[in-house]
Amino acid sequence: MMSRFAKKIERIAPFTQVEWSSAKAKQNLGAVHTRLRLLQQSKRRRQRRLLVAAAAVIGVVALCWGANAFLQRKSILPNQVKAQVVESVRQHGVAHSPQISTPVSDTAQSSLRNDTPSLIGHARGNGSVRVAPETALSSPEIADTVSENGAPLRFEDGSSATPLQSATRMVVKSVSDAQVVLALQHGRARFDVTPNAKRRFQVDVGFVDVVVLGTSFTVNRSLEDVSVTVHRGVVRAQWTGGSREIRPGQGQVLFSRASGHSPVVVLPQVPQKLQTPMISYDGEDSPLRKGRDERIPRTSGNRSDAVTVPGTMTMADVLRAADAQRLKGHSIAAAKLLQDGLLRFPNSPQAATASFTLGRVLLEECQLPKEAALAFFNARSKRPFGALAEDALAREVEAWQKAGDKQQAKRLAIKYLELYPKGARIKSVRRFGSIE
Amino acid sequence: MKRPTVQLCLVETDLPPDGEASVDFDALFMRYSPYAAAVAFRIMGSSDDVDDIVQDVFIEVHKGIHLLSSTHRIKGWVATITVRICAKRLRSRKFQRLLSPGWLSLTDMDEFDIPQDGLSPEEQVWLKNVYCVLDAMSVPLRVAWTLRYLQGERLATVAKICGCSLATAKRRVAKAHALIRRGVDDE
Repeated sequence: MMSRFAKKIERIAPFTQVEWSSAKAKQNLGAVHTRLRLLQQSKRRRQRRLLVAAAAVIGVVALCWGANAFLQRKSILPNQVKAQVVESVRQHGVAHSPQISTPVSDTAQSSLRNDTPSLIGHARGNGSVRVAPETALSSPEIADTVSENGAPLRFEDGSSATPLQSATRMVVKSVSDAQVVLALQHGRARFDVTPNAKRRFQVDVGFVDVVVLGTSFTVNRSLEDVSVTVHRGVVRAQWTGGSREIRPGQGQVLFSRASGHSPVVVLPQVPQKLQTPMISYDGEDSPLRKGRDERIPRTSGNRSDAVTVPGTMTMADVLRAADAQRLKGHSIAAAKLLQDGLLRFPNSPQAATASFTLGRVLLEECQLPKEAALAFFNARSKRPFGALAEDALAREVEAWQKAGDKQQAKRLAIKYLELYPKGARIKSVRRFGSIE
Repeated sequence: MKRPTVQLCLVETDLPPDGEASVDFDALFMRYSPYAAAVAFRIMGSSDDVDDIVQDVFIEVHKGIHLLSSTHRIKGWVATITVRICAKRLRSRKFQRLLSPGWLSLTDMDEFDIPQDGLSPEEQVWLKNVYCVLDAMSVPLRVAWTLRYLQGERLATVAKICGCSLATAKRRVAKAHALIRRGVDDE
């Protein structure tokens, strides 16, 4: 039964009609088309804006990448800097390195001269350097002989010097009945010397001279250190203020310039089958091992400073291993690890951190401010805008001041104040840079 | 975007002999815009917004036209879109009233665009009263009751258009009906 209310609604409902004529419908249709067109235009505009934004982002990223690549190409390792300086001194008598922003100081130049006497210790008055033998040779057929590109040197008595690298460069400095003097200027070479008590066989390797008494041995020279491995017989390594006899079985004896020319690192003889796992891991008492279950590499020998970086290690491993060595108080070993790591991974993202850590170790623990300054320079040149750049510059000022090069320290201090006028290390930089 | 072909079984115009044609938006508009306008007018109670609502509805239709299939119920789809847009506008209007200074005052009866022809003055007043009560109730109740009693849709269709179950549609219609009867109070 339908109520009165429902009936009323039923009667009224048909009258609730809107006026919607065909003309009005067409008018609305036109409006709809206009709005659709506007919507499509705005959609296209939005897409265009999106494309432009994407292109801008890509452009900025590409620009940053290019700038980064450019800066990385510009940044130079200290070793490269040193090599350039050495080459420059050799050619012009003065250090000239246009590619680096911070010129190497006179102290650094003199240090390089002192440390590489066989290379640059014979400068003439006009500044040029003779690399050819300076002593009159008794065997004219080998006079002026320079071994390059892997060519071996053979002597009349059967002794030989065989380059083990294509980049090895050797120069015969003098040959006489009493002695043969060779200079290993770069690279690695093996020397087989016929025993002769009356004739001394000497290899000049920068700051170390290896005197031979009839033996077979390998010498490896880099800018930073010299290593000698004796296969047969005995050799004596001598340097300013000391000497050391090396015999077979002692393994690779490493001389590092960082220690003031003393033989600081002795790599123990490792059996052939253990060559690969030379790096073992710390025991349970390691402080890092206790804190976290990470494998802390250390050397298999007993000497704390006998370290190397095997192929399986990454830069992160090197940093961890160096930390472990520092915790154990083996600063030199830590420095060597970091140095090897930097040589091995020069372009690693953590190279700047490693270089900075190396600088701190050398400055604070090894008391080698000059080397530390170079390490700090390396750290900031690797990441000029990195988080460590400011600290590295400040520490470099400190290192140069402690190395006695106050002029360089002041110059860098001024640079620090220009770059970081509100820097956190302004006080110490002013103090070490002697700026009031 | 590719325009799909559909059988415009509900649009008799421009149909080729095999029954397949690309969707003719203009034909769709001409056919269904009166229906959309009627639904919008009955829900809103005023012809002020009807044009805008119909345009909005067919812009939505244009966006989804490629989804049409041969079995698609275009009328129901248009009704659903219309109801959704109207409900959105009603909610927006309520919110605006809340923000206005005289939000506590009763709805002005002149807001409603009641047809003059064919209705006695008493019936016109009664209808305005109905819209005033509708305006005071919630949007789902208002929409359900309007579709059922003013638009004359069946309850199943109301449920479909409102996107709810049949029971919910019945409950909403009944509740709204009771509120209107109490509000108009003419029995």
